[in-house]
Amino acid sequence: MEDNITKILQDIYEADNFLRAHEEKLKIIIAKLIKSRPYAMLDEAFRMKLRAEIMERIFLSKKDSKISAPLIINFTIMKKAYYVLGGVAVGALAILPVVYLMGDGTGVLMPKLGTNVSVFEQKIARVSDGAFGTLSAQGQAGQREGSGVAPQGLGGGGGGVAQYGSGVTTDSAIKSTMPAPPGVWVSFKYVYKGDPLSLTGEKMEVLKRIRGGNNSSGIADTLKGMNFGIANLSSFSNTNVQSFSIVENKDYGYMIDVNLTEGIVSISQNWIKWPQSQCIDPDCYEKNRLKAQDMISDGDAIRITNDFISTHSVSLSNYGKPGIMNDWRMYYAKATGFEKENFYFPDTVTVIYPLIVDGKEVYDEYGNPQGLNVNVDVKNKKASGIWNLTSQNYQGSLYGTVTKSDDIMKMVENGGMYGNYDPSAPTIQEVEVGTPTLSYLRVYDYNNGLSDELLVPAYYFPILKGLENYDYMYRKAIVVPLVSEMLKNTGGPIRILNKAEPSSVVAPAEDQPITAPEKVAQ
Amino acid sequence: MQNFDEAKIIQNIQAGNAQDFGILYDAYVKKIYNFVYFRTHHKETSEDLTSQVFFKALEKIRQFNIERGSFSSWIYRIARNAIIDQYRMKKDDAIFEDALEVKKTDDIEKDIDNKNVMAEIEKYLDTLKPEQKEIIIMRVWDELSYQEIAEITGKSIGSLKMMFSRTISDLRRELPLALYIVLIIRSI
Repeated sequence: MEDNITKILQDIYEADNFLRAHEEKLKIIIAKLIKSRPYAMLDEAFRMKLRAEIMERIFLSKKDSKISAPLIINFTIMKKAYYVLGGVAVGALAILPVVYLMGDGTGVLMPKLGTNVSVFEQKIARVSDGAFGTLSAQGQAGQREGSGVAPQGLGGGGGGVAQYGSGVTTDSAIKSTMPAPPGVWVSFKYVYKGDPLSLTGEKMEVLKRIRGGNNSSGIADTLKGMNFGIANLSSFSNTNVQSFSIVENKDYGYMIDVNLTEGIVSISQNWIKWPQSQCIDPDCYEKNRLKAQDMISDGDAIRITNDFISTHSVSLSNYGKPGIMNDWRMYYAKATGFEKENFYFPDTVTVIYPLIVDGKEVYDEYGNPQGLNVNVDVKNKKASGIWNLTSQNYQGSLYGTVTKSDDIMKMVENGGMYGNYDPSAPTIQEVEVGTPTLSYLRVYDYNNGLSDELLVPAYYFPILKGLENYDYMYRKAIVVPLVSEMLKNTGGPIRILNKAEPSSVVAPAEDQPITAPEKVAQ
Repeated sequence: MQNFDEAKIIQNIQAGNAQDFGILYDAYVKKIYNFVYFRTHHKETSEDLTSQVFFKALEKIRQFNIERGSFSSWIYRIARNAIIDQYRMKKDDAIFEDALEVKKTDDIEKDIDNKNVMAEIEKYLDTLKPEQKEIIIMRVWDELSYQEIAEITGKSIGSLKMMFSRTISDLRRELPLALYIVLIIRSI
């Protein structure tokens, strides 16, 4: 403040040298006056929210995101599709291929008929450092995006203390919070056996997926103009279409769900057009259960999903070589006696096409690859759906990264972000992990019904050996985020702290009577 | 002052690298918010108008000509117009100058420490013409230079200086010393 007062005094003397005689008194007065200046507090949440909206508008309005991009989904192949809204097939055709086509750079989303969705082209818009707020890990386990995965053999493995027991398969993913099987208390210590670590730099880019945007008021207006005979839809104002569904009205038809808000397309079975089980008693179900000889090979499963993807022109440009979730084979091979005879064979198997962003694969915190999931109905030997087909527009912001390899090794030894290696456990099982690869860790932050999806640079340490006899430990890797603040705050899912709350702030209408600047004197 | 090349940033934006607009946003959002808040003293209105200003700037930035004035003056001008439009929409009988005054509301008393000083300033500002008040506020509260005020208001720097010095001279005869100083400390 002293420097400021001195500067102000100089300005005052230049204006009125007479005041120089009162300098001591002036200093006191100026100090009080500086403090009395009206205080306008710019709310940080508002600042961040507005920034995000502006950057999203910029990103979505870039001219090069027009439909000239590779076509991703050719909806017109579903020729007999109709809207579940009922009887609005004409409107449906107008709406379907719409989304996200940019206008003239003004940022207004414009419907475009007869074209295809291009939003799935991968793009990253750079924003300022630390733009997504403080990244931290806290709180309780959060939800995960609905993945539609097969019921068996999925999930992460607990990184911490567990108790040894016989291998038991379950229908759900197992997290570190699962009740440990009865037996001997075992704590897992992860030991690094790879090459010396190389740290990449002081800052790395964290990506935030831009959701759909939902500026589809034009679609809503189209629908409102239709007379459904039950209510006057045009009586509602300021409307948007958040999601819509299309069903394919034929045998083995599909249902396509488009979530404009989240920027996600899902394809699933139109159940009424698929064979239904006629069983009404347990004996019937038991008799019709899948047997070992009914299961399809991994190669056949991938061929089925590849054909489905090819038929419906789903672009795989953002995805890597497919893999299959086939852990059931391992459990079946190990099962004996009663367990073997009564083994549950999954009626759906999942093929994953791993998402590749900026050249790096994406994993969850337990090392499971994240990407496009395509399910295969084993009984019917047909693809039964696609999940996690998401828009691939990202904002990228630099964050400080870990500078000491010891910090990373400490988390590795502990079993990752949510591990809790306990050296006091009566039995310590060493698990060897190998040289890491640079990847992304996908984390979610749920707020007010919307999910923010972040991809955080991370090291993926593959597990080499040590878990062979612990069937309940599904994990295949330890994933360690490289953003320094995330290593300091572990113990729960990543949360974005100081995050902007949803705002009612809206962009000015096109006819906003703000006048353009005139020529001014200089 | 910004430690980046504003002209270069704008060139980049106009060349298609619109994401660089984020740099301008970071540099100006607080200034624009303050500019609006000093004239509305209402948080939600200030946020709404600030949003409008930046979206409008984003929409029109391809038309911005750096040779005709600074970005600073340009975006302040958009803000000024947004405030005026806001008053025109809210009040049928609003006059242009209303939007440029320091508002005398209960809110203003919450955000200053020295209520008595502010009340005295208001009293004396009320004796000024609207255009005099606008210049005083821009110089004192918004900390804008004569160059910027000239570009925002469309007046010449010479006329602004003359108007400001006459205003200060008039106020000096009326104001106590402390209030006189608050008005001239940034007038040089």
